[in-house]
Amino acid sequence: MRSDGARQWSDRSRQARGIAEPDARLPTTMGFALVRALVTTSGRAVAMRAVPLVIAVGLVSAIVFGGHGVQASMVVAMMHRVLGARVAMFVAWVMLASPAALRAFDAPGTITIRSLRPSRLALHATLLAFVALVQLPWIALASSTGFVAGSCAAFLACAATTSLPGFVAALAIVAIDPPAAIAVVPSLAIALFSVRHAWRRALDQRASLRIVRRAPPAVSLAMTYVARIVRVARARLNAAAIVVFAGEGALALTLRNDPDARPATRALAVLAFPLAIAAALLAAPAIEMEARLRPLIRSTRTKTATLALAMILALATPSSALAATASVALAPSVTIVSVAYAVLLAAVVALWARRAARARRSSTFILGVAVIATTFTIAGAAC
Amino acid sequence: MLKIRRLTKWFGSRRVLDDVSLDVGRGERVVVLGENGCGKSTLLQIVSGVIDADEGDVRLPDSIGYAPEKPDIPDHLLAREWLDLVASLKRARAITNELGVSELLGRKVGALSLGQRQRVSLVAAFTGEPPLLVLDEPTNALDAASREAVIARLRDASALIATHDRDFADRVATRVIRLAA
Repeated sequence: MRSDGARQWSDRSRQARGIAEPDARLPTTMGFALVRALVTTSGRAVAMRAVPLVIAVGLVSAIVFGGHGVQASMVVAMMHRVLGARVAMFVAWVMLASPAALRAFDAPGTITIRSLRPSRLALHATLLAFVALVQLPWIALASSTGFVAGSCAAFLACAATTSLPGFVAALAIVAIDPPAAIAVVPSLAIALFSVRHAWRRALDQRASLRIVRRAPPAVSLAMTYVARIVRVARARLNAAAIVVFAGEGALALTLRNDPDARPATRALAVLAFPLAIAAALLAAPAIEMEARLRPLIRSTRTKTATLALAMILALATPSSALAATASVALAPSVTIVSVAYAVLLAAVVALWARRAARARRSSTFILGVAVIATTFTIAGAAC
Repeated sequence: MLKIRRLTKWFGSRRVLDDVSLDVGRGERVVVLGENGCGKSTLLQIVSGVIDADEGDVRLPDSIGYAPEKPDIPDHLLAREWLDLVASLKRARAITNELGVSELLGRKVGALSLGQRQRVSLVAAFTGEPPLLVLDEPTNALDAASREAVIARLRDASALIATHDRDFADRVATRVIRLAA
């Protein structure tokens, strides 16, 4: 905390440099201006990430809930019944929604808003509203059993997607699963605390988990590509996860409708397209990283075979991890088959991506991925 | 150590390097001086293999240590990760205790100052004790202590260096050549 002396020195220093002191009445008299400023900074940044997420989840929901006899209330009832399913779905949603929600706190322009010392109430309420917009699909799912349940789910999701303490507190409530009427007030309090915490800590330099380590050249390069996917292209990673989860949902439904089908064979046929799309989504940041490292690659005379192997490993790592989630809804044998298939598919897509990048034709790349996915689907169905 | 013969490079219709020949012997530190845009960085980029020459021949050892003028390190990587990657590609041990980089290892490169990035870039060039160092404006953003450490590090090295820093050139160079625009 600054002393009065330090404050006076700061004020004199500002006056000496001709910097106007912000109007102390700004927070209360210009609440609307604050909201408008936040809409054009944080709100816009959140919307840019949230809209694709909401559309993608909406499409998946249309597949899952459209014409297969599955209703949102059935899913919610299952979540209330099974602790593992409740926690897994909540954590999965937090992973999907966090990148969009966190943009509210560090979007370009927010540094200026911070310097204006805005009213906390207006600031936190507006930011909470933006974060809640990201949670629309989750709120819609929870609201199928009532308004209070929807509100409670909204506050818990807002808390969990904005800060680590908020996530821990929200996860505890989700695990305990108290009646919504009791949980809604503490959930709102946790959400407001979490938003305040996120706003205060957004500009801190956070420690990152070390991903790249000294290893054989191909492995080290692959880890560098994965670091870019995880740290920079998280929206693409989320999209890839959504596509694969949708494929797994479709696989579960087809097996439910056709109990005589062999799960492993059906998995190969149904998951080929989602896995190919996921690998294709993740190829762009890896290719960008390879281009960025070209001076280093050339000056160290790294072999082309090493680069190709690095690209295969980089795409196979997240693809196989996503495919491994098939065990959540299906048998372990399906997981082994889908992981092996994901590695093979990712290898083919990686080699094709490098070739298309050299030719600088994105349309050729997309066409090639479609051909690869179709080929693998046919091959899987024929097994 | 390094033999450059009749090197020519065009950028569009502009000839940046015209028939440049140069030798750097073992233990020799050749400093290239010249005004902005005379082709110093282009020469070093060709020597390090980053870009190709249109004509001419470059013969150099199997491994070199190259530090570009603007450290081209991805912002999202930790300094430690970059040094590990470079060590992996050079099949060498990562250096983590030179030029004061030990205190930067856990920080993302995007959060480092220009001088700190340059220190990381120079340490990456030193990784694997390459027989030839190719350094482009190595002291551009360095503080006095780091500059002295670089001068000490280069004492027995073989190097081709481009710089505008005359004092640095006087203290490091065994030979100075001037590249005409």
